[in-house]
Amino acid sequence: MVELIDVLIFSALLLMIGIGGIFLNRKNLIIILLCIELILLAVNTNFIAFAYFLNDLNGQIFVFFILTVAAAEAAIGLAILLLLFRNKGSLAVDDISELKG
Amino acid sequence: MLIALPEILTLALALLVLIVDLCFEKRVWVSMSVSLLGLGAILIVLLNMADTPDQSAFYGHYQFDQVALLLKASTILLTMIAIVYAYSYLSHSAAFSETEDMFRGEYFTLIILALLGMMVLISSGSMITAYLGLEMSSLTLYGLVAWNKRHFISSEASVKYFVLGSIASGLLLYGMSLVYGATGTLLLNDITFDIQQSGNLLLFGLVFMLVGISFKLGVIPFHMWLPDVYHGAPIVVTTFLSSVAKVAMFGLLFRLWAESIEESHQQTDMMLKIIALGSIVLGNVVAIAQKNIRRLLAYSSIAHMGFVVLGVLVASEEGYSSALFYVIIYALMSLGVFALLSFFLFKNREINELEELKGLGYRYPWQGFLLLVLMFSLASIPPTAGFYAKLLVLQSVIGADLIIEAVIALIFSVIGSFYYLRVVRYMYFDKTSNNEDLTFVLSQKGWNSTDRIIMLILSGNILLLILLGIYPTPLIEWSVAAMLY
Amino acid sequence: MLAFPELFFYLFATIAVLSAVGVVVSSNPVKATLLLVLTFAACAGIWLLLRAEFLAIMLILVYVGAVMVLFLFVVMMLDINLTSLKQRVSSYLPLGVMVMLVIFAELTWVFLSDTPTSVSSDKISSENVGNTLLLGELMFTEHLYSFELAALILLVAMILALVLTLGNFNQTPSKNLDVAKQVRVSSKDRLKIIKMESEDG
Repeated sequence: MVELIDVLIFSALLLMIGIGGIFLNRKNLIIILLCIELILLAVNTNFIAFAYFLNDLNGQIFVFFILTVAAAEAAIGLAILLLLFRNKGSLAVDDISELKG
Repeated sequence: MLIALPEILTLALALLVLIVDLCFEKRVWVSMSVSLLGLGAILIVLLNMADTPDQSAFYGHYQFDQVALLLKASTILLTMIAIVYAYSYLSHSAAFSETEDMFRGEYFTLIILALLGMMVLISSGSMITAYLGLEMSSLTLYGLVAWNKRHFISSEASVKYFVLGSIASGLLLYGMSLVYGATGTLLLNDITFDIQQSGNLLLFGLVFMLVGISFKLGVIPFHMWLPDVYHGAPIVVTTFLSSVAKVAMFGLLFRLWAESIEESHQQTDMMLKIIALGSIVLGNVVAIAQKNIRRLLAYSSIAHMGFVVLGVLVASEEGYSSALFYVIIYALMSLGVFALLSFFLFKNREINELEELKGLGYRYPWQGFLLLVLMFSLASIPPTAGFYAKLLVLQSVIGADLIIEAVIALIFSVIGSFYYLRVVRYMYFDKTSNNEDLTFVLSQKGWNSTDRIIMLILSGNILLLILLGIYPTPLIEWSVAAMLY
Repeated sequence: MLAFPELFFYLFATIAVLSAVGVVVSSNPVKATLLLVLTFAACAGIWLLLRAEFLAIMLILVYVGAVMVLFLFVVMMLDINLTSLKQRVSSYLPLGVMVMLVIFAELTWVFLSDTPTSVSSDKISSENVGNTLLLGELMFTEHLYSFELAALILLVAMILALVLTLGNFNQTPSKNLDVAKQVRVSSKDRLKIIKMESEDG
């Protein structure tokens, strides 16, 4: 039997890797977007684990909606990234410091 | 199901405006008028539902109560006013070639969809609907901040807002997953945090949720996005973002946090205290050093939201209703100030620096007076509505025996009134230069009738602050009545 | 000896965590995206173990198949100058890792102290009634409201993606260009045949 705590620790690991990745890769916008997806993956795994162990299907329904919203978010994020790239010519975050602090 | 009629009608209106914009592409005023009339109809429908008793629909995922009614009515009204300002600003900016592609009908569709998301959020009964409403409004706002496609500062602000906002949503969701694991239900009414019974899992979940909520509200320590977004976004979007979105985020705070914590809030009080007092202190202190007026207003909004959290900290009916009143008054002030600033041009571009406002009081007396009223209201000087709002919050804080917090809040907001009065000084008391670079857009080519109407609405918006300062009783009574369970 | 579910769980979990670390560490965005795809695939396996069959398949089909492919397209289209992005701010590394470890330790402590134990899982998916059917029943009765909202969110994403990126960008648009009119043109508008007498040549 897969224990609940194993899955929870696994998704906490993914969450930490995602947050750490954002922290470490602040200059690289694409990696930041990928780390946001990692955080959402951790959340989804959490919901599915709780749905299994609480014998309640609502957790899986929530995952459904989170996947939908994450797809929409990825689309909008990439559109905005594209706009930034067109305006600036590069994605190096060093160039993105017109707005200070 | 018909209890959700306002939301259904808003959805229909958004789709209608989308189609209307497709047919009347060049004539943007058609989309604007359709959206305005539609929102007016929805407001009337909503106010007709004022007598229906509190109920929930859609298996508990939708909640209707008086708080939701008041918040939704104020967001719809504020959005209507914001649409009028936006149309005027966009049509005037269409004269410049860099900004002519901002003047599109899709702007109004997106505003209505953002409003729909906020309405869903305000009357959400479960974590799913709260998250979906929050995301719908947030995604629309991320896109709207980037509306000025040709100017890089707009895209940059949008990227920052998007990244930080998505992280916050992710953390909010993680908190929701832990709460779901601890309680086994998604409905907000069933989540009660009891100090003795509930375990650590629920507490941790609520803490993660608070992190996400405080980001969206724009308070310490997650305030980093505010100055950049207020500065970089087109000023019409800042108008919408700083007024209507704040009211909706108060709804988020109220639904997800306040209703869950209810009785046993002693454990989480320390967190809210740090957030509230930190925002008031930092917002007021850092704003003094700002030279850019939009950043100044961003930091001041951090301080004002700190007051709202202070009201929520006092977890009683008095506290919640004072916070509700405060956020509505703040939204009105914010709408007025950004709209007024959006109609000024300095050397034919938007106003950015404080010093560009020199001599405003003499060149345009009426507008100067309006800005004076706004600054007094933001600084909470009587007899404006801002004074009353702060008074109510401080009264409830003192009533809950949190004297030290009230004193700190008061001291720092008095310190903070310095920078508001500095604006007044620049307007009236700076006789060194006759600032001819400053022009008021609406009177440039002579007053035509639409410009007169907009000036009238703007004046009404701002003078309402004086009116509510002298006679705030109706709104106060409505907020208090809304909070009586 | 580990039973099969646990063996597979640890296998998938290891693959997922290792490729997640690879996403964070790699400097090449294309490699990072592909490693994220691997993470999703491993997680889909874990979800299958947790009786979330429909969602596991949907993760692969929709999320990896559509969203990650979109990511890859944009990454490859943007033609990023890779060398300038290879700088890593390594001075933040110890502090960041420490903060992350502290939060992770706290979370583990919370999980160890109180978590529910598993009982049965017949409401989620059983042999007679599949996961998909149960999901469908719940979705279209109780969660109908959220379902419609999710559709609207996709509409918002579509409108924004189009409005933000579509349009003539660096060229000044020709104001006389009306594509519909151009398509409706017929030969009569463009060609005129004139009968001329042949000249003596």
